[in-house]
Amino acid sequence: MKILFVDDERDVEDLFRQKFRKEIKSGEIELAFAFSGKEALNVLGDENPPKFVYVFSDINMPGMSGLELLDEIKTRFPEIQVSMISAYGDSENYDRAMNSGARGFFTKPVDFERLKSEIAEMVKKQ
Amino acid sequence: MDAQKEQALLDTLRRVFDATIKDDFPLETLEEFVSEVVMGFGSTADERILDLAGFRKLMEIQREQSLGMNLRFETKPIFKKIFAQENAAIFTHDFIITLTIGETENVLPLRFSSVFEFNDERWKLIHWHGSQGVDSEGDTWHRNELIKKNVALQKLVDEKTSDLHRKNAELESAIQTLKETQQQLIQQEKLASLGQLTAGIAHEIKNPLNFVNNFSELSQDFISEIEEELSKPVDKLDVGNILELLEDVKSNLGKIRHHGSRADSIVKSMLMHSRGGTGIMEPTDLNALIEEYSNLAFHGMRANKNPINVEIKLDLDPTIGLVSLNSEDFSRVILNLTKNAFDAMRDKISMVGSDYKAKLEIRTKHLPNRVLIEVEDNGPGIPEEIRDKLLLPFFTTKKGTEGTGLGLSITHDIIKSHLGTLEIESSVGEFTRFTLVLPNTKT
Repeated sequence: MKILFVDDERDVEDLFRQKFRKEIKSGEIELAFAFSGKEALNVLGDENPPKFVYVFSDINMPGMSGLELLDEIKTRFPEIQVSMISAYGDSENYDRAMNSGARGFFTKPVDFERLKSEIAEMVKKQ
Repeated sequence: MDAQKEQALLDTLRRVFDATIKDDFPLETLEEFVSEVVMGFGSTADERILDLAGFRKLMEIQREQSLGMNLRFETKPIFKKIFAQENAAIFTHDFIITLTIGETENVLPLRFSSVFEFNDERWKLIHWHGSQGVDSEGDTWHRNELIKKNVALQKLVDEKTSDLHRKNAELESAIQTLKETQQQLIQQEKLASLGQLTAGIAHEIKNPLNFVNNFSELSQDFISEIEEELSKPVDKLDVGNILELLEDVKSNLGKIRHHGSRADSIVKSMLMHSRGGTGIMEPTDLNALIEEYSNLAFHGMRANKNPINVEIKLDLDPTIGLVSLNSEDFSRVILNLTKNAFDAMRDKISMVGSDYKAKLEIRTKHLPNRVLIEVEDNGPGIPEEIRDKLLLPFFTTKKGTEGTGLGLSITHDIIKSHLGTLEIESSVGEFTRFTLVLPNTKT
């Protein structure tokens, strides 16, 4: 199962690769990273239809915000699941994400147990 | 002298007194008892009369000035002499005039001498002298009077001087109060901008701390895994896995260190920002400062009320080198300008809707002996008529308590204290560009 993480912090890539080391090694999941909304759309648009099943995106990023990316993805690739990851867990962001069709909302620091079980559940569905 | 001639002399004397005091005296009769060549000194410096016309004029002036005053007089003869051949006479009188001005009675004690000449069967005034004794006795050369006057003058000078000293002290204390108030306002403005930043700073500290926590937790897990691996019999050891895990641990320790010092420098710059103005000019990586503070301002804005999406484009010229700056003060310049841009672009979004893409560009450029900094937004622009008011203290276009009106004024002061210049260009509906030029002698 291909998952795309979108965050402007580059070290997020190493962190998630290490956290999901076993799942990656076993071939259960495959991770890709983008560091802006624009880059994420490019990655998703590379293949038609895209093989990505799930996108996790930060909200506060320079340029296109995560919420704008969410709208874009939901318009262009409605079959892809999107969850938000944000340091700002205010109700305004939460409501907007949920109303735009987000599957979940994670706050930073990320609770990896919750994230893992969310991903495991999705893997099972596949 | 026969009685008739003496009576005529006394009548002439009386007419002189009457003419001087009584406001209904017929002045057209003056020539009947005053000589064409009369000469006299009055009691004031300008009263030097040389002929009848001058005497008449003096009488007219006196009459004009005595309007509304109730004048009375009495005369006391002191001395009288008729000269030989009975053709000339001299009188000396105390001539005491009482003037009532309003409710107050004033006494003017004059000494009056008059000389009369008998010619063509008529007595006529030929000379007179009226004067007022000065307020001193037995003081022929007016020494005491002069001393008295000097003392009075000195007293007046002393009074005025102490008055001036007092007023001076009052002004100084008023200026002091103003200076203190100004300092307080600047401090308040600093704290206010720190308040706006708090969320951005919290975000900026939380982020590296999350990495520190996550990478150290992962490293612990990996070490346990390595220990587990090492407890296996030698022939089952997966050395490749161990080396891979060790490599991750090593890289993680580097990342922990990197993010730790990132958090540390954020705390440091926050302290620097809130501290009183003790910053010094030192060679500073201006590009790094711009990156750091535009980022803080962005996250501060994102975490506060009504966040907006902004594309921030930094175009920083690496050849500017180190610029001599008071980085504490100058960081406020970047914060204020970026914050103003965000606020302006937010206004444009609410005006024209979400088709508009907010964009902030910050550029640096090396110029000979100078460095150019441009902060440009594609917001609503600044109308011509308020452009020259922008830098005035307390001028704000923001509603209610949203702006203190001090941001740009302080920004301008800081740029001036760096011997730099600030220019504002704008086109309504299109852009606003703040252009700063600082001296930069590359070292």
